Amino acid sequence: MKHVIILPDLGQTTGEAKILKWQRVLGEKVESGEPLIEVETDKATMEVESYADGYLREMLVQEGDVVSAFLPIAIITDTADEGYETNSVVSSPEIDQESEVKKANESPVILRPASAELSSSKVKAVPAARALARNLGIELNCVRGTGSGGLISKKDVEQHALHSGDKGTGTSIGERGEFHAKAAKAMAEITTWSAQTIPHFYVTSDIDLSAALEWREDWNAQYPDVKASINALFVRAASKALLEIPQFHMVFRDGKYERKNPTGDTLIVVALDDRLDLVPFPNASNLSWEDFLRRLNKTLETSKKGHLSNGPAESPPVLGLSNLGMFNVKQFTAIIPPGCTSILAVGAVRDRVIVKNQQVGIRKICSITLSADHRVVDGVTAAKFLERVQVHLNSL
Amino acid sequence: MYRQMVTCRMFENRVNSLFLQGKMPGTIHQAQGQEACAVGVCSVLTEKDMITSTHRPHEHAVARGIPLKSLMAELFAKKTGCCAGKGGSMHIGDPALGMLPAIAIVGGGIPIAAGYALSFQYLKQPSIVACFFGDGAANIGSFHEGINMAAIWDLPVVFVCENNLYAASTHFRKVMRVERISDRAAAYGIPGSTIDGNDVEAVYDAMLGAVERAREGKGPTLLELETYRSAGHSRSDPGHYRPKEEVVAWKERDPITRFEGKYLAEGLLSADLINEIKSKVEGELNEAVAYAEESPSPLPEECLTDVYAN
Repeated sequence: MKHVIILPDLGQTTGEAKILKWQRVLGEKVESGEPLIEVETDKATMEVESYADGYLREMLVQEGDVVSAFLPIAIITDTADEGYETNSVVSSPEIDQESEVKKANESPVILRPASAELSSSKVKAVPAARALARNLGIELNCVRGTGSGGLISKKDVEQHALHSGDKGTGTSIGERGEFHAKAAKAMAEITTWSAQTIPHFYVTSDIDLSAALEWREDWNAQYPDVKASINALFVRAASKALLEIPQFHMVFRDGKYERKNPTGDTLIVVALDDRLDLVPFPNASNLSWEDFLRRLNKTLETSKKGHLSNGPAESPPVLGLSNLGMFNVKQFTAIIPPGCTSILAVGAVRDRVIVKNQQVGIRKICSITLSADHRVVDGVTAAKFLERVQVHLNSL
Repeated sequence: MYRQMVTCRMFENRVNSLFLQGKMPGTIHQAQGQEACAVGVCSVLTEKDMITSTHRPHEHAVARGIPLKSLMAELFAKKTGCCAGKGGSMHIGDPALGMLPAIAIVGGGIPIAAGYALSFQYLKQPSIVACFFGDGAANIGSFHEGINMAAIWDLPVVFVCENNLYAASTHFRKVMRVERISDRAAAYGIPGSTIDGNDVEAVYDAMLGAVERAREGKGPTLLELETYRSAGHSRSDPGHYRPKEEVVAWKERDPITRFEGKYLAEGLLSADLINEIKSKVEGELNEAVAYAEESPSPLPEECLTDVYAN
């Protein structure tokens, strides 16, 4: 009879372990309770015991491999030379069908170092970076460390999270197309992390877009090949407003405040077929409307094709921008992306009856809501920001 | 008592095997090597007595006679478990069968045991409480408060300290000035004694005296049972902090092999009888595992039932 030995979940905070050393050789007799293999978990080195009596017939992992819990590591048979099915490791009844093994087929779970050199050089990272990477489901090997000797800081992990959308590990998911498992997981982790660690607060304002929309109509009639979307109006107004309010350029990280250079860059939430993407858009509000729109449209188109044209920015945007107006959403609140201090959620434009200067009139009104990190921004600052957005939209 | 010790050991070994196969959820704290403590203590108790336990409760529950099926189902987080699948490894127990669901907070059970004993005294019931805890708990504030309170009111409780030398990975000598934990009984004006916790008969005898004293209304006793867990603190602990010689020395004092050695020599036990007992227990465990595996999980809508007191 064949027994498939799996890696038990020995870690205290992670579900994986590194294979250090086989204690047995192929064909050797083993008894239940005897150690088969030495592994390194997040806390300690441990021995994994066999739970079957028999002969070690197959060693399914190599020394140096990093293996997820519940994956098969060895095959033991009752007698030394009996035949057994070799191709049924995953479908073996020994393994719970609902365990990680099935999910494991979707993504590589045995991480085998590419070269001996790589395996010997451990990835250097500060504990906070390790914790964040774990939370976000990011492999530290893939993160570029900017500290001395390539040491990975928490900031590096955040940078990586923000700019890895092109690899499909980036951001998030909708219900539109095919389920994008990796993106869904990343979204789950990023939003959970943000919602749990950033003290969000929300300030909503009704913006009068009447003047802006009139301008837009004229513009689109005049420049039919570089049309301005409502979204574009908000990107430009928000970038300008951002530069006027220095408080937005503080970031709270690891218990410390850090000042960033005001750039006016924004992080635009883009809906792709199967997921959401966070697309950094470097400030272009100082350019002419024509150049601004060409640049914005190009950035958004490229991101929809799944390729990011902008490499990792030196300093990531501090403001996110999300727009559900096209879906006739009146108003909503958004979760602040990691690395940002706030995110602006734009609702639909509606005709509203407004009393102004003792006169009743119909105006184009749009509710916008700023979610902000209260460690950095307070209500007055948030209100000021919304006010400045209105000012810029009035003076196109 | 031998049969019970074997059941405890085989239960723990089976749980370990299930854990290695990935069938047992969560981490577990096992007590292989400490069987004589659980069995020696529980053998003295009557149905109406109560025990409190710790984060390492499996053997206490087996020795107290909680059915293996309901224990195994609880460890599998199934509805048919003794806590309806909501307690898991560290909270097994059944008050109707004389075991409060285990209290995993180190030292947390001591004042609760005193409180339970107070209710027995107040209701004039002849029952007593046996309170299990470890050497680590003896340095927790609740140890002082709970035992002192029990002492001044002569509460019917026996404090059973299973000293397995290590509080997780810290040797008790590193964190205590006193020679023996039982020396601390003097501070509360109650009797205390240190017993070989790997000798089930010695444990039974000591417990008999302590229970008698408690039932007669003379108050609590502190028993320190010297023992050793052959496994790590939990399944994620390889126990590297223990010298190899120490592990080997304690293996020679294993309560089950010692018992077998003594009574095989005296002719009261035979190899056949041992095999018969073991295969019978094996059968019971097979049944318990099958029962647990076939049992349904609790439903999402039941998540709040049995959770709050009425």
